[in-house]
Amino acid sequence: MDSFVKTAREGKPFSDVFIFDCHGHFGICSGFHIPQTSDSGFVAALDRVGIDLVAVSTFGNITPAGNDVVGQAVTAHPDRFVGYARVNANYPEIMEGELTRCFDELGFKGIKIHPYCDQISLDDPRYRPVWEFSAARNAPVLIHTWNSVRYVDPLLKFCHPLLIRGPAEEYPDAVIILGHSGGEYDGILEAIEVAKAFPNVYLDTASSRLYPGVIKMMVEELGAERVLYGSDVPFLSAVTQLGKIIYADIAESDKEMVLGGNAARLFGMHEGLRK
Amino acid sequence: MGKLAVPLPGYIESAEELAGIMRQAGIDQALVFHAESKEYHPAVGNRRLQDELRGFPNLHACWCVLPGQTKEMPPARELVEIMRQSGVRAARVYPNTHNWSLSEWSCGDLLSALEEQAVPLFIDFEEASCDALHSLCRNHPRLPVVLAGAPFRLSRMVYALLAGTSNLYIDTSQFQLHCGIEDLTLEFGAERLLFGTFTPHFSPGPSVMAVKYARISDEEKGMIAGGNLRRLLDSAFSPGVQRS
Repeated sequence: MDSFVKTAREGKPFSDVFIFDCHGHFGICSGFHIPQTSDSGFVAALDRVGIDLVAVSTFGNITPAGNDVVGQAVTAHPDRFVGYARVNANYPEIMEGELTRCFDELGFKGIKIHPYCDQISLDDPRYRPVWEFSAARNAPVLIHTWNSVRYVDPLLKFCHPLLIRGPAEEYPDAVIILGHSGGEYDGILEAIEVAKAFPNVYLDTASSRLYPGVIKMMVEELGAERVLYGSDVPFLSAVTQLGKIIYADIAESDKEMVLGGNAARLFGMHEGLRK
Repeated sequence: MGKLAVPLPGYIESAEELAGIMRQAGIDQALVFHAESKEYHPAVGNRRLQDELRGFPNLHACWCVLPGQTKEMPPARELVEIMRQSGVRAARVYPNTHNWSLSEWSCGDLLSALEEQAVPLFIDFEEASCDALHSLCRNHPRLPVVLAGAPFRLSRMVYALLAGTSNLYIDTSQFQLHCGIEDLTLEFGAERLLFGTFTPHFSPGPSVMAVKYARISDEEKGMIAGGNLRRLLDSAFSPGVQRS
């Protein structure tokens, strides 16, 4: 039994490893009820399991108001939250200005786009300012990606992982994180395929699908340095999502990279900020 | 457990493999149903379950049942008696998949027979509307009903169902909401939650961690982790159960 599983079996916080969750949100959600979303409730939940940092974006799709809410949380807890600037490609005229404001005034370090909610394809030219900004600032872009051949949702055509091939090739200096890694099993296979082809593409592990063996498959196919722990907290429990990494059949050194080392590198944060 | 028509990589089929991954995750016992009872026919899957669980005392059978009008299964009270004789103390239904109605005119006899013996009834969230579940719980107040696989997005429905019923329980396997276990425990009591994993479709370890790290008392964790389900199973067919 490795030391991570041992700690989990004991129910103790993971106090010896730096944990950086690359996929979180802040604010309130319209679609369903989420308890304890205040910053104090959020931080208490992170402390219980030993999560050091969470990169968060707004729940909303209309900016800049949502970015301001995230900015308040980042300002209040700079050692616990890192901000993603959410921009909506339906408003391309304010995209560059909002990215600049979020990074230079609010101190954000990443960008979040949601082609499914925007209903604009991931490879649409209206997202170009995002790739340009990412390449210029070395800023990670977290993209909501999802795909499945097993159920029909017309909006999936906007966000399946293979669509990133064009932007990833055109902007090799952009730092691209495939949120949910395509989500369903079919999407995960697509995400691995595209990440294999483009070294600037990384995988986020956040998904309610707790498929057995998927983390191991990602690490074996791409190397642990390309896989980032993400949870989608507070949509999902950060603890349950953490369990996917903790119980994965991979080396402890790989778990350390996936849990926080990789995200710290991508976001330019110093590993061990808190521990 | 059991063979699926369309398995994903990593899916395991046998009782032996199931017992193995449960051990790794620190799970002592499990309530199990057979894939063929959903995907092929309940009667066939139930028989196969009984055969394949022989020799695995920590795996407990849960039968899939149907209303009796078509005579694919015995009449309701006879079916429940066969369950008792077979040591089966829990049932599942798939009204959508198997094309029957969860309304009283369709399965009232079956529900009443299960209720008379307090046999817990598991229903996947995809198999019944929340309105149907609410009516079922109200019409059969002594029938323990377990809503299985309710996802986090169903939180508003789950809260309303728990508030509006006293005999509904929630399986935690896919209710992965941030602080969901804590908040449901606070609002409705730990006795309404049953630990679940959706193994072998999903890895069990993360679901174990969800309970282990919940910010609730050890006593409440014990109830959710196994105490509540043990109590429900022990109550089924117990001499103290009052017939309606």
